[in-house]
Amino acid sequence: MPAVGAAQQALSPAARVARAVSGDVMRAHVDFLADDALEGRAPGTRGGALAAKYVAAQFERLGLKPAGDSGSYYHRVPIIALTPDPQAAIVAGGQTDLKYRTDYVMWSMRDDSLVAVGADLVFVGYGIVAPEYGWDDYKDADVKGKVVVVLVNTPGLHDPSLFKGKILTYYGRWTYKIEEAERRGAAGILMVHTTESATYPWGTVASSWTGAQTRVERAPTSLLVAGWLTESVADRLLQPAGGLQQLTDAAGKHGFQAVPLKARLGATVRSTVRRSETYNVVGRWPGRGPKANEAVLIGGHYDHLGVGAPVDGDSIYNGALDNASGVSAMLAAAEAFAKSGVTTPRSMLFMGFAAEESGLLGSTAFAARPSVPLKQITAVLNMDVMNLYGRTRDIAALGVDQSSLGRTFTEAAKQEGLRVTVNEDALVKGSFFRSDHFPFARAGVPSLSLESGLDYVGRPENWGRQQQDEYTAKRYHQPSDEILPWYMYDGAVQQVRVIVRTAVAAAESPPQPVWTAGSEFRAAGEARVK
Amino acid sequence: MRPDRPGFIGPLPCALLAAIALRAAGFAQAQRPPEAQRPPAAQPTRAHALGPAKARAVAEAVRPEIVRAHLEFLADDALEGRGTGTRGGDLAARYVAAQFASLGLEPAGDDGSYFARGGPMNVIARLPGRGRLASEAVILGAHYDHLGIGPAVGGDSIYNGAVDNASGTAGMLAIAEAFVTAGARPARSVFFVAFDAEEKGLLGAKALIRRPPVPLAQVVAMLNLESLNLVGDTRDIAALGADRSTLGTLFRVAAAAEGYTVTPRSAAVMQEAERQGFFDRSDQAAFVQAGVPAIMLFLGDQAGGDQPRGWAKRMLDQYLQQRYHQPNDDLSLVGDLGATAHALRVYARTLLAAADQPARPRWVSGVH
Repeated sequence: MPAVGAAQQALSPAARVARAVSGDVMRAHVDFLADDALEGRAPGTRGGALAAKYVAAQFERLGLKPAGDSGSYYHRVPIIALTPDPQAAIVAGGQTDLKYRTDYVMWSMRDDSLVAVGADLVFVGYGIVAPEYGWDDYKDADVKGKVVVVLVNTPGLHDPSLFKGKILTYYGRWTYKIEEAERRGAAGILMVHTTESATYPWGTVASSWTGAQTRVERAPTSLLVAGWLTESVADRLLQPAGGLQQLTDAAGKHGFQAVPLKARLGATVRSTVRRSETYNVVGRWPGRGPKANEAVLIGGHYDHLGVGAPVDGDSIYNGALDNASGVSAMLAAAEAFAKSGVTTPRSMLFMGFAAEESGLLGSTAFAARPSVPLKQITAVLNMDVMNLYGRTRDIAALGVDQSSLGRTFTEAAKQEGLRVTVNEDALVKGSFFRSDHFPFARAGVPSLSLESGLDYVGRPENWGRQQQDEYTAKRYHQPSDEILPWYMYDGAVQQVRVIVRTAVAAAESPPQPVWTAGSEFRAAGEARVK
Repeated sequence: MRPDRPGFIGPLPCALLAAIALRAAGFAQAQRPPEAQRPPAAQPTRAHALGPAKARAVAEAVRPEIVRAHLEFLADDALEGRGTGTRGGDLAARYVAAQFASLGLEPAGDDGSYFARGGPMNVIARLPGRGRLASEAVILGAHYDHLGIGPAVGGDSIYNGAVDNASGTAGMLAIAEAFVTAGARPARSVFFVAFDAEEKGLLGAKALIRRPPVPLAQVVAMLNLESLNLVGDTRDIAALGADRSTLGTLFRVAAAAEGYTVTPRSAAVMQEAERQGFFDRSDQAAFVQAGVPAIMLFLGDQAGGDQPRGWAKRMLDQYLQQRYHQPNDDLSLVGDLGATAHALRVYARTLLAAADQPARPRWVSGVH
């Protein structure tokens, strides 16, 4: 071992790991993973497999212990793709057949090629059960074996005093509506589309929910089908109970009561089923002492879109920023621990998430069937798209408002001379619900997803925002998200240094991170540690 | 490694195919002698271990998990046998370059990259020397190419070349990492080279000699890693060509520091190497021909641990008869790489000595 200088010994473990973060290492991994030879790293392709193997090789090289399935670095992600062909009718006195795509979309919630449902419809307002807001749309409602009709978004959309106003809480997301209906034992769910509440037009619904629906294989629940209704079909259905406008108003007030509709849904969904699999890659940097079975997870997804429609003659979607940069940052963080030799009371888990672009499938599969019990994972730090534009004076993360990790992150940023800025836009859009840390958050694990700062050293005030806007407009999910000659890694090094400091602090702190009092994930968090 | 004659590649007779089922390790297990007859495994003794601190630091930084990581990636089916000019070969080259870059080694190929262009795609990195000898160079090489995809044998058409020569490439990368980790900055510059197109006739090595990263007169030594021993440790160790130059002396000192004796020429494996002309069949031969003293790491003869007498020669024969240039030269051959790392430590020490000692290695008169 090389001699350790007195100055280095005086540094805290967090500082030693932070100092070992290398931009060369990140650049080397990005150069390989975003090369055309990796063919865009799509799940189920040669390029995707190569990327996973590359991550595993790095884990092994660094001396990380396998933490996937059966003593390997790989954690299996079973994927099922169902292409639905539904038929549906509303029965209320007479029968009204609905026109697929024009009136509604529907898909199977079972991994089966045929499901059928015939059940009473119940309007459950926003379909929210939120104790911290004193809200329960399912209070005294019996929806077992029934089909719920539900509004998306939250009452905060029209009344800023409710929930977080225009800031999207998880209760507003369509995924939440389905999960809550499932918890209540419903047989089906129909979500009411309005462009205002969904934030996208019916055309988006019609195109997004009609082709192959790719998701993680799941055990059957009470839910058989899920779908969307157009605003006009919903209005007609709700007419006998007062109509959509009147029921939306009622649903936006405290004390709303679910309304049984005097109508039934009759539907069958035939699906063509295709199964495939991909793999998360998981390695452990063991902690020491009685808490070593607990772990802080640092992750980033390694997949991207693969080879697709050519744009300007280029058909390889390299995903250099999205997310060769994030998985490389994760590897650089792992290398910083290995090179500094720092071990902490809790272990570190490093993870390359699979199939994020297909809908957070890798992280969802891990949360559903973890190779390390979720009870032992105390925090998740996700990296999706790094800052390769240069040094900043600030830094950001999704979820700083949600849990005590926010304070840990802010303190870590301060140690690196960075202030934490809040991205209001991301809060309104609900970005927190859209990356790989989220399936962990939903399961109660406090989590953050790293973002870039915007205040660049040596650049004009709006330069950072302009760069981000340009990326979103021109390169996001395009073949041109490739390695640009001017990409630099000093900004990303700042980011990873804050992440490893946050991780070390979370791994050292005797109590586990906790959700804030107002967080919609607090209840899940409390249930998790019980 | 190159075949000794054209047309060596081809389907094996059925009898041999059946014999392949005998995994090397399992076969050896069945032949295990009683405890008392087993010779002790080579262990660095306390006296041996007290070499110069820098050499010890470099040697200790050669880790089996690093060898395994690179070997498993390079010999994976996804690399499709790393044929020269194929996408598998291209991937292997890019993989090696990524490792060089992550170690912070300087690119020493064309146009500021790690790659040689316009011919065999050698991958070249430099650890710059220090002081007046920095303009001189020592090369640690290993070819990364293999045969690619070819005629199927037993339903397998991917010629993975796990031993030949994912192993050598992995070993070269592990030694490069050890130099960086230990902070070793020898006097001469060290060039780490992954050669392309060895299987096509040492074309990568010949191309590098035609267009060397420093003038050839300043290249004082070449150490080659070719088809490493992946199966188990020996008490002795050999380097082919060690008797031709003073590199042999450096190798002997390095071997002793790791607790090995040097295999005598009379040993069965050395006789086999001579009979087969191994020294003339891999990249070091091109350097020798160009006047650069060179050696190739080889396995020893006396089994270590609990293996029976004659084990090493039998392993060599089995590999040559059943696996060499066959699709089953694959990851099923990879066992505990402790022995491989141990042998690589000898090479890391030899490389450091060749790069650091004031005198250039020279030919031993009368042999070359």
